[in-house]
Amino acid sequence: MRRHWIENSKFFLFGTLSLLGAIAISFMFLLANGNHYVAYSEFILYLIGLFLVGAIFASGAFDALQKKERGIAYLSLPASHFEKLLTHIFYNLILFTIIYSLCFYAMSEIFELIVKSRVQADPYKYSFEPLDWEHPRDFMVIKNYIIMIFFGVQALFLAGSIYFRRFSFIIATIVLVLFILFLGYYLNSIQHGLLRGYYGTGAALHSSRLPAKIYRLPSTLVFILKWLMLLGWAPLFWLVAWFRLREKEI
Amino acid sequence: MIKIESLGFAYKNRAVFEALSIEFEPGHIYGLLGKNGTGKSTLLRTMMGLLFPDKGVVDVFGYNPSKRRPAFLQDVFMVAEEFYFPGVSVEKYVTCNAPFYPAFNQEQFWQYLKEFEIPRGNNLDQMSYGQKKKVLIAFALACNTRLLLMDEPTNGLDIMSKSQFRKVMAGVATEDKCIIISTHQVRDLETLIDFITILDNGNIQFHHNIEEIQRVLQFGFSFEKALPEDTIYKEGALTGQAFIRRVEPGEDNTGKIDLEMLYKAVNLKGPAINAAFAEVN
Repeated sequence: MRRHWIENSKFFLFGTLSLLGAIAISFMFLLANGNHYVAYSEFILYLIGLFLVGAIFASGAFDALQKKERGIAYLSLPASHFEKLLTHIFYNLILFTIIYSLCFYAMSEIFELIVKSRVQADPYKYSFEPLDWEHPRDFMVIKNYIIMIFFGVQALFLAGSIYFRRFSFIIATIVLVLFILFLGYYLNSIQHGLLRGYYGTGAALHSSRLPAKIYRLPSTLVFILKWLMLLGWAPLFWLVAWFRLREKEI
Repeated sequence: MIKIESLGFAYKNRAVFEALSIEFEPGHIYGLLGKNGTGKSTLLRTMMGLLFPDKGVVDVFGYNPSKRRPAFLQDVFMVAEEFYFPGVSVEKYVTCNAPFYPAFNQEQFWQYLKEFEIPRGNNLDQMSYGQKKKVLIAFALACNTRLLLMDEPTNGLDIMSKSQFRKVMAGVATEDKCIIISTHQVRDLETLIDFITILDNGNIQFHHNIEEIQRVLQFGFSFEKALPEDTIYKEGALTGQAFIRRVEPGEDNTGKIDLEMLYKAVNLKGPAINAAFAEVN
């Protein structure tokens, strides 16, 4: 990990500066977009940036293996495949998330200072709506789930960077989109199958007005399946990446 | 120490080795020679665990290189023809890479760099290809690994650097070390190599040590048209003819071996050369 830090410190420094620049530009767009500032937009911007920049960063994790000379140096390094993968997980998931969040927090503080000074100067023209955690809005409610999904998406792009020699970001994005479409289709078809002729009429599976018999999975199984679906993707893709790293030839 | 048995390896559309078998022992500097595309680099990368055999066994100190276990990688080093250095100073590079090699010797490393005339504080990305290569060679030697693989180490080195390289290399050959150098520049390594291995079309065409070669072949030069009767190979020069002849039993031969001529002789008169070795052995 220390070696990775020393050898890539310049890249990380310039990457952080670019990140700060990109976030600043995004906030400028928010400032230019009307006089009513909503902190919830910042929250959405944070999530979009987290997923997008995170995916781009993770796609470059195993860049060393795309070039022969770098690949030889990387694979010849006396460390286990697990240690090498762990280093990338640490940098791409933990460190990236911390750095990104800190950069975003710093820029959002500056943004809010500007906004608040505008509101103070002209309260009739400008207004600011801070985040209200007492009455959270849609994405705020499921923020913990989003973070868990982010782990899975990051891991997918990390595995993609080692699995696909070229255009790993694009291919991993296509895989992700296809998966989401398939999941949507699958859930829709289940609902369609259960409701049969009543599909699209507004009928629900468990109508309170009709006698119904409800079958439930055991609560332990529901608990395991839920958390497996939420947290299982990241370890699954890390495992894929580990196997691919082991069989990588240069 | 290094045992390769019935090695089969193919790239997507080209077979390199069908059933290659060879052994490398410690205490030698092997010169791995061969035409382009005969599998020299492939063989080195297979021994390093960077390529996996399709069939056969590669055993390096009892390890399967394909597993790339840290204990194995700590004891081998490859100076690749195309290599990578991060944009850090030499000192930083050593700080973050040396701990991976338990037998790394800092003192040796700085001594080698001094012999190669590389300034200590320089940044690696500001160095020329030749300077970087010398840093890599110095690092490789200071790692003190039991197996050192070098792919075209003198490529990109100027005349002075080649001489420095030979001087440094001459001092590192020990009883427990096995050094395999793949090269086209045979003249650069003539005084270093003590075992010649020639690959051709994925097969071992020639694999003998210097003493053996001297016992069997004599390299001579004649200003006359007539050459000895037992001449195996000859080639014309401006003032006469260079030739290789078979050494008679009991005959004393301490003459210098011309590696370039030997290589050409093995390629053009392979059966005759092999027959001469078969007869003596």
